[in-house]
Amino acid sequence: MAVHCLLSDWESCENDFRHIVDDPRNWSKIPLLNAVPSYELCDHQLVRFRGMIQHMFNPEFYLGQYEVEHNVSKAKETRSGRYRDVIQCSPEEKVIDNSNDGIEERQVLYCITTPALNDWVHQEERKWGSQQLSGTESSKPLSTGTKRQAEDEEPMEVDAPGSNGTVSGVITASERSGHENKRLSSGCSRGNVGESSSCPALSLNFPIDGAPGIACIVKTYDTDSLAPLKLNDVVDVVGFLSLDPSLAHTSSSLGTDSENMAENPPPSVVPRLHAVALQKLTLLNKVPADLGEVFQSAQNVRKELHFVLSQMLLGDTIAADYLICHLISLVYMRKDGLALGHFPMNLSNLPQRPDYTRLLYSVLERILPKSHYLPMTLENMNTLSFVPKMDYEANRLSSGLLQLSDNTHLIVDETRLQAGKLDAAGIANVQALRTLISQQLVNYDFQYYSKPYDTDVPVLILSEGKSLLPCDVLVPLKVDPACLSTLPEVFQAANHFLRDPLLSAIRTYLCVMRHSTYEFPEDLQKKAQEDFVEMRQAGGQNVSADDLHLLLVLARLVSLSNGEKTVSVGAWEQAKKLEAERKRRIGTEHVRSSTLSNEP
Amino acid sequence: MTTKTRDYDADKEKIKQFLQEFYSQDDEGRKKFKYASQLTNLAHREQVALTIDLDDLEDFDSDLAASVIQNTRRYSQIVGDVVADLLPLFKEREIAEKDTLDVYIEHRILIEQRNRRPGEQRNPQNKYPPELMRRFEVYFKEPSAMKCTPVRLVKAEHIGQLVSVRGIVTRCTEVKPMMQVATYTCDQCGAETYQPVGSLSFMPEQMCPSDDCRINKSGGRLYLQTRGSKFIKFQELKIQEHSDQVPVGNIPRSLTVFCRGETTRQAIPGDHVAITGVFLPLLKTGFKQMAQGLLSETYLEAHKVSIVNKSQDDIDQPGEMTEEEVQKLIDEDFYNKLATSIAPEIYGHEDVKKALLLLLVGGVDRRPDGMKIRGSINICLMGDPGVAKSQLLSYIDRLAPRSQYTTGRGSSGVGLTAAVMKDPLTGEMMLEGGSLVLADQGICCIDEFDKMADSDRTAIHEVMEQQTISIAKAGIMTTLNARVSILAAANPAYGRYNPKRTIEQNIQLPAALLSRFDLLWLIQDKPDRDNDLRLAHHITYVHRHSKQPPTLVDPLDMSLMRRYIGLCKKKDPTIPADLSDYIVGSYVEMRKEARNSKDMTFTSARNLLAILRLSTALARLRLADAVVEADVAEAIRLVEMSKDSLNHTEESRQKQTSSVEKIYNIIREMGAEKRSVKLSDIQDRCTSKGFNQDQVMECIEEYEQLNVWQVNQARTKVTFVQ
Repeated sequence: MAVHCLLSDWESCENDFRHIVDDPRNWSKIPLLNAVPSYELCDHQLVRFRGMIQHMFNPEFYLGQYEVEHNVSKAKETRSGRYRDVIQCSPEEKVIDNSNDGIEERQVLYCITTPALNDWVHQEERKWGSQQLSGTESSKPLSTGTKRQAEDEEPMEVDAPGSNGTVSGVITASERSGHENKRLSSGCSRGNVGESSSCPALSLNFPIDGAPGIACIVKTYDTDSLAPLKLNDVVDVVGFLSLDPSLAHTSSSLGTDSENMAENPPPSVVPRLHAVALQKLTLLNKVPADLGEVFQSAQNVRKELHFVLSQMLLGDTIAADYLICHLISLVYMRKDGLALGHFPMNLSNLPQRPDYTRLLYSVLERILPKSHYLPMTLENMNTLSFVPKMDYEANRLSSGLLQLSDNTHLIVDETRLQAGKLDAAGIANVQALRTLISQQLVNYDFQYYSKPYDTDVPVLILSEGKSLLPCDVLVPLKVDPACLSTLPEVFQAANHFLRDPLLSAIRTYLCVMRHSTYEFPEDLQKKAQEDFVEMRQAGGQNVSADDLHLLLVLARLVSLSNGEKTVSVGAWEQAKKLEAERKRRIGTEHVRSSTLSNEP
Repeated sequence: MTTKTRDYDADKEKIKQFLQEFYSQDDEGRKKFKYASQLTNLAHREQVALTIDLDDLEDFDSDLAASVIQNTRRYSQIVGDVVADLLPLFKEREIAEKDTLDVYIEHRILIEQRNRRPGEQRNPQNKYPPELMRRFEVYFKEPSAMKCTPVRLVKAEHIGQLVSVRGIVTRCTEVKPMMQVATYTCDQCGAETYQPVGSLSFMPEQMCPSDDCRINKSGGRLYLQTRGSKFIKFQELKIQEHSDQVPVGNIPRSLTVFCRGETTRQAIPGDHVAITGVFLPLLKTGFKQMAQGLLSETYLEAHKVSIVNKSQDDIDQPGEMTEEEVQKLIDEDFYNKLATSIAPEIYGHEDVKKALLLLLVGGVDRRPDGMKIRGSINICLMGDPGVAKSQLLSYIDRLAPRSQYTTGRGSSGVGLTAAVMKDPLTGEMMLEGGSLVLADQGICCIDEFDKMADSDRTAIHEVMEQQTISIAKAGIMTTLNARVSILAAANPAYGRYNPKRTIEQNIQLPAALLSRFDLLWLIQDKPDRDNDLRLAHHITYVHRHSKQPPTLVDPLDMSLMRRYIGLCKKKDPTIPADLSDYIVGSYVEMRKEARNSKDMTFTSARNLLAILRLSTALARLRLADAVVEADVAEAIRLVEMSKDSLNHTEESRQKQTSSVEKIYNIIREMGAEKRSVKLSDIQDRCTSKGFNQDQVMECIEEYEQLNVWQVNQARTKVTFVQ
């Protein structure tokens, strides 16, 4: 049953609703702001919103309690200012000014639809939202745009009839013509929900240009008791909607116009939400409560996934092993500027086919909850803004492409790069990418200083030769010529293969393994130490501490990908074997390229 | 907050008493009436701002001072009233009117005196608002014990209180006149009406409220008199908290500051400021109050705006170290402990870290008549790529209170030294300092030193010895101070350091420049079973337990280090005369050795200076006033070690490990001319080479058993067996 609650109901019997809200399992019964257009919701209704914190405003001071006096009867009444933006006062009443008494503080967050969220997560989200709501058929909260999208999605998932032979067999023709550009530039297209950017003067400040989505100003109370929120956290908020039109920038006599515009956008564009409950989200898709099953089936799922990926990677099983590891990687520790666990990967030696990277991404997009495809063209590098920058005129953080929430996969397609000139902005952007890859940090530009923000964005670089970005894990692809000739068919088959229930099993598998804890047993620690010393003796200066870091991370990922929470000797040996094979490949690659360059 | 309501009348009397009677005694014991003399100045219009130091008020009445902090705005009004009452008493002579407002005020006072009949109740509308008659401003200065509140923690409970915050100015408006009292005249009866303005906007009055107009219903209209109104300078600032106050993953908060009168024009965007002021909600009027009555915007009414230097800010914030803290720090191993606390995340390299510690402390400058001998220590780190050189540099950059981090190529057009720039607005030529000038009195960390531009390379010669930069460009000839310690990092040419070449060939820098470094370290990454095992243990531990392994010595906190180094820098140790023989001896020894062995480095008089600098730095580190022999020995050891790292890269490893063998060679050399050597001589010589007593004795015993030499019964003499 859908929960329909207005603020007045809440105020009269808070306890009844409090227990509903306190349990996140009930949250699916609350209308989801992301899925329901705002004209179907009314002021002060209890709604839910999912999104990423893009900016934090200064805290707001408001009257927690105030007294109202009736002009005629002189009856006084105390009212609460909590969960409200506008004072409650009818024309016959007047507010008694108690100057500074009862002033309280609330935290104001600017949230946006999670950037780079893939279609399927969005649909899943919407399904939960609408399932509960659409007890009455009439209020089906899908705009025409999303419907069309959903239809387009269908043939993609099931099969691509007809247009085979050509590469576009995977993506239907209408999809290609209509959505391709957007799809590529935005990385993922979502349903166009509610009003998006109806006000041209006001940018909603999405990291990814042109991506549809909504923004929302969330006001949180009792912030001290909450777990500290960080920028770029993805949150699930339940709260009361506030749509009073007077909120549009009328209020302030301080500051500039653009600042007022940013802080007080019209509520029809950016609704206000007064949070009653809030939780941080790490997993975006639905995960079964019992994880044991997922771990049990991990081996099988991995085998299937490995098969698909190795087919896609043109028969290269080693690269598929690495790719699985990359897909479940996560920064699991930070200390003194050292980020442990990130596993940036560079797939080089890609076949020189213009559509290959796009095809590869189309599959990754279907198994990852959040991903963004960045064609590293000169134009993109020179014109896009990567690093978020503080805009002191408007007093808010202008978003940049790298303002992504944790575990958003960034796929950088270097095959698109042509020879040409990078301008100053382009160089800064490359630099930002480099810092992101090597340290998992983005230095936000605050004009007078730059401030590093921790990120956890796994980066996969697709390139023909070794990438110009520094990347620890360089995997030259070993192309099986037989696979190359049947490339379109391979992808067609892969997309055909990836369907429920396997598809959802893979999605669950990737999410669960990524966030699983792991243990590193004592005896293996000893073994690792000895192995390292041996490698140093044998390899001399070519083996450094970084190699050991990488090896340990790889061992962790290998064992997790097999559903083992404890790193076994087998996983360690496997990791060593993989690394040895990878190094050998790089070596041959190097020799080959140097002989090539030596023959003028 | 004080719960009981205060008796403001009593407070008023107290403040009156305080202003008149507060005095401090100067050195000669004379009483100095701090505020009374200021009141005289105010009365004569020679001073505008009256700043009341709450420290003084605290001495006078601590209770009163506390309530001033709690309710500052109220008290600044009270003080204003008191001062207005007192001023006529302090007027010693007639003063000439300075501007029209003064004339107006005088006329108004005269009229008031003329019209007033005793016992008459004045019409409140016609009464002069107090603000109109005043030409002074009252400010409070926060007590010195008051801590700076981080912008983030200025909360609702601070409303009405005096707070002091620090931040960086991100925006400031122009200084504009703001109406404080509006004066109107009536077109019918000619009466003046006054309206004090408290907020940013006001509603002008329309109808004349005077008796004449009201009774006659003549409907007199009011007209605003600009000349008769009182305006005050007004500026709005926006400050943002410093980056170090922002919790991880948060956006820096900002705060609006209103500056009035004398507090305006103190800062421009980009300045680091400390502001003391009253945190107040902004009053809203009319429709806005109705629409958004729930919200209130807040601002800080500035009482004091001062610019702080970022580095100064760092130093004075933590304050002096107490004797206790110093005692706690100084235990027998504190030199090692301090050294390992430098960049604790970087493994090993103890000697390099020791050298960096000495660089932070610095030696003592000497200026014997006209000559200048620098005390700052220059260090160059060389090494293969990926041996954490840059990490060491950036750590030092963070640790040092004043430092600049740059690369040899220099990021801006200004480069390392200085450039003459043309101001785009005025067209004037002006000098813009480069990193070396900006790091004056501090440390300049230069990464990629070998890739420096040629123009900078020539200039850096001068910086490193004379500590100045001479500019002769575009008609500007000048010398700028650049008293910096240079910490450079250089990559070897052709990728790896080749031990068979000289340093100049390896680094591709001229010897003249290299010799200016006191210490040249070559950091190499060589496979070594023990070291590797320890490294592997460290890394696996981190991965396994998600934290750093416990170390024997707990690394010291960065701010503690900073404070201790600040303390060290205040010392000015001297080298006692009786040490000079020892130093000279060691130097001569070094020269001799350099001549004999095939040395790739240079041993020159600069080395002697380096040793002196290092030993004074060591003495400073001990907080001692004089250099002792151990300091010199350690300095020599560091110099030797740095040479060692360059000279013997591969084969010297074994040699280094067997100190016994080395000592044997020393003794052998000493005994070359004569057959027996005194044990005390041996020990002197060996300590200067960095060996300790035990090692010497071990060596002597070992070779005694081998029957190479004999030691006499008293163990004072070693005789070689022929």
